[in-house]
Amino acid sequence: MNARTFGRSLGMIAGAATALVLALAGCGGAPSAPANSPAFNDADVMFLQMMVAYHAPGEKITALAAQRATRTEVKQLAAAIEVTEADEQKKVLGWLQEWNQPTEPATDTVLHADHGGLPGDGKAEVATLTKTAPDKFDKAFLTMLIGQQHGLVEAARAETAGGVNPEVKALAQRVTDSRRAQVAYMLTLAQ
Amino acid sequence: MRRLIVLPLLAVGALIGSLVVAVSPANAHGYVSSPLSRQAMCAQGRVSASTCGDIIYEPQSVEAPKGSLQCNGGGSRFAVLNDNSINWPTTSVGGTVTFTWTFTAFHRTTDFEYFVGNTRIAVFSGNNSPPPQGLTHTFSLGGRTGRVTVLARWNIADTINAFYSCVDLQVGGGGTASPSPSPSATRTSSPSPSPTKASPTPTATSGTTTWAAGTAYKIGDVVTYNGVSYRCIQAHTALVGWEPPNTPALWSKV
Repeated sequence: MNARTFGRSLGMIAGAATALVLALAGCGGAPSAPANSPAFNDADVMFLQMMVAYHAPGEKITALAAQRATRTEVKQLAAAIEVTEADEQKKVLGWLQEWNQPTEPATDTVLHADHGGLPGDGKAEVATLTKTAPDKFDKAFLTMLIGQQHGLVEAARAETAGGVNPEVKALAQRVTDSRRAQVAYMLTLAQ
Repeated sequence: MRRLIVLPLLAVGALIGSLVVAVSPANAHGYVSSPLSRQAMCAQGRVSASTCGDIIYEPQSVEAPKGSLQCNGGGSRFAVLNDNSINWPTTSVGGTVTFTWTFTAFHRTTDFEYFVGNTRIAVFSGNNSPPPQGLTHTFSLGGRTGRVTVLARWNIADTINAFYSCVDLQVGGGGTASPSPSPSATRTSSPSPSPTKASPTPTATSGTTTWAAGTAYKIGDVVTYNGVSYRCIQAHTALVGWEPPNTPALWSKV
């Protein structure tokens, strides 16, 4: 980790710490911590930031597949994932904003290495899919999305283990359930 | 000033400590997703969650030091993958197979090796580069027929570890007919239908029914869920985790 990214992670952690301290101390007057805002910790913030990070490539490739997929099931799945995840993002961004937290996770590679690294912004994935022949498109898309949803299941399980905010933990459980169900369905479609 | 920063710094220290703890356990990277490997059978629901255990969440995490011929790589986790007393479902194939990898992390790669028993039947160089998503390898099963278990081993260039996947095949009597290049070439023709949402998808009947995962809903279909009625506003096949109250993008309260 270089000095810049370390500084940035520290900044993020310090921000989370300050907000946590404020929230625990019940500092209702502080603009970043409304009186009835439940406490949160670094795991909650990390999970929400990972939701944002995975959404960037996810929305691009599902939007593309909703247009270009060959099979109706794949097309419909892509469209349904696109709209359900857009809804989730509103909640996710709302929490991060309310808690005065950055939307991007620290780019510290040490932090993320064990979790498979951070996803890209989706441009490379879209470029790959755009070049894919129509008869190979569905499987290429499904394989790509299966890989991404596995990453989200992992982030959600880390939240279930380490988070404290009940609403965020409830979201994490729904993410684990829905992404696992999607993976199961996509593995079937990708054979 | 100095006193003001003490508390935040202590909190930072505590949080860094908790981050290190939270980050250490998981390692997620890649597995054979087609034909379905044992861990993919678990993730897909063909083999029950109670049999499979934690592998259902992370089929990509079967990581262990290089050199093992066991399905779990000889590591401390996922020993269920070595259990041949489980009737692992097979995929019917011809004498030549195409394996597809799904990755969640893209490590520089020494090579991919494929074994039947102690015999290495194929190897593909990774050129010391990260593999592309959905990488495929096509190789001959060397005339073997009947039930064959192939161990796939992804050797990472910059760690001591490899990722392991065992794939159970039923090799037909079709000999070595050249595989069709279409993706359907590797499609399973296994006679046992999958118990999951897969095939054939039921469609909603007319009138109001109870929401059910695995059902294909079209716009306008009405369902009840926990006594509340919802109308479908986006065509989709229902999945666990997509219950109507949680998915306003798919369902609107009637």
